[in-house]
Amino acid sequence: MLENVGLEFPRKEGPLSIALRWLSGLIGKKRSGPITVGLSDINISINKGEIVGVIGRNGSGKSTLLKAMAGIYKPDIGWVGIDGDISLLSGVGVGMNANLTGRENIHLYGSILGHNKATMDKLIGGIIEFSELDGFIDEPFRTYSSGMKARLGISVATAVKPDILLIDEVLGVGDPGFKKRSQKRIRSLMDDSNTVVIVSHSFGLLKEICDRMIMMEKGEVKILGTPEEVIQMYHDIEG
Amino acid sequence: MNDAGYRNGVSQEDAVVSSELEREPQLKDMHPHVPLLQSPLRVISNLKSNHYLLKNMVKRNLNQRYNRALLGYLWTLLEPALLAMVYYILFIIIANYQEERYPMWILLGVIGWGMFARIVNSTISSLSDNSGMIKQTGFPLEIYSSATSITQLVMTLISLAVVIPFMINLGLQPTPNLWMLPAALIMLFTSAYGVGLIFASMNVVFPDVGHAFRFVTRAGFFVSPVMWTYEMIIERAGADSVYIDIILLNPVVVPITMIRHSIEGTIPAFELHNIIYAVAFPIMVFVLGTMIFTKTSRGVVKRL
Repeated sequence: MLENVGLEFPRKEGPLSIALRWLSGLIGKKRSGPITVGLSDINISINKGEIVGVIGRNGSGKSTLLKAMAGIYKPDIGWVGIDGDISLLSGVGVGMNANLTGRENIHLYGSILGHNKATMDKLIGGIIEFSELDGFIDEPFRTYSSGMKARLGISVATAVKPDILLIDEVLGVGDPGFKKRSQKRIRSLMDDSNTVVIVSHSFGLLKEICDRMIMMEKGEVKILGTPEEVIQMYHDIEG
Repeated sequence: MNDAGYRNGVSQEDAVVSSELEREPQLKDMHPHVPLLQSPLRVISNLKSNHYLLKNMVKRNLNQRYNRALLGYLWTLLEPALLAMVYYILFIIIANYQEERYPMWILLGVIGWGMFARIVNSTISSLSDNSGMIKQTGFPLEIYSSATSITQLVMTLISLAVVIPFMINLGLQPTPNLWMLPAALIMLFTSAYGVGLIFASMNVVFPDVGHAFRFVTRAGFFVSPVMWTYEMIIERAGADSVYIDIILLNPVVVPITMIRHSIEGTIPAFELHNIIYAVAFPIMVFVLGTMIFTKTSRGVVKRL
């Protein structure tokens, strides 16, 4: 899936230094601006049907890796290829609007996640049922409590089963009852999706569900192996 | 050191699997190379395949604007009408100009120019305005710019209803020349959208671009036929003055004049080369805009 992928983030630069760099470019000396390495030399290939967990400290490049897979970031070098439709769950409820009703937001968020009208029309009954927002679904979204908003988001996000599912720590919102049900639903979603890549800090969950795991450090794949190996390594390094 | 650990991981477990999988022919490249000349078609086909999303986003934009306002969508009518009234009063005071159709001319100028300016500015800032969403969803970036532009177009169509009372008051009937209205709107839309696409990526790297264009569109108001009409210029300068050709370099002069004449049911007097320019300009900037946008927009996402 990923081949020699490298990604660099440009750092903030003052106008003077930009001008200087351009000038030196004019006289033939090519200099690149200050950068932060996002990902460097990533080679991963994930098979159909695999569940792969990604761990690592904050800022180690886990989310960047997922975003490169989802096509949000274009790598500076290397190549990303996928087979099938891909869906990234991160920051549930992206693009939902306060003034629209719950129902309208379901359609909006569903289409943002890449589903077409026919799919959404088919799923909307189940989504409303799962979110338990029956009485409020035609009220404006701004009148919802934050728990209700999250519930609606999760319900939409987990309703469709894509070929490749990328999950970026979205588990665990709402009251305990809903939390349990939504975790169950994400688990069944992962079972039904062909391929899953999940970023999470809950090692227990990862150990249980993953076929392989990746540990990221400073934008590189530190180790790729069985869950036991990787978690062991993580504890060795982090102490 | 890191490398070694990583290679170990691969070589022990997955060397066989990964070498088998490498560059499997059916794998879809996430960032396929789009030949420059295919960019316009690519943008159009991306919009087509995401039309449901586009529709939902336009709906959201419209809703966001007027949902909580007491008068709601009436504001799309009130805004240009009030603006036109202010300009009218100003112009009457300054120029003492007497012409019963003049208020309607201003109104149509305000609507046409307003759409052009707002589409240019909102398309230029479409990437930076949606940074949060862009960084969490993978769909084609032209959706964002198109959604804001189409929102403006829809609002313009609604606001055109305000012309009807003027037409009744002046005793104007719709004529077959009304075809110029949609044609002119398409010309304005395509020009503005194309210009916006040219600079949208640049605006992410240098937000100065957006500031500069907000000034350009504000100043452009005076060199565009909002308070004046093309016919007034001809009257002043004479039909074969060189100034006419210079004024017609402004791509909104022909469409706005067309809008006015379409309502009045007359045909504007343009030279052939002026018409060719007015039609070619939108096409050229649209093609150029989609080329630049397709080539650069995905690359600037990490700068958002």
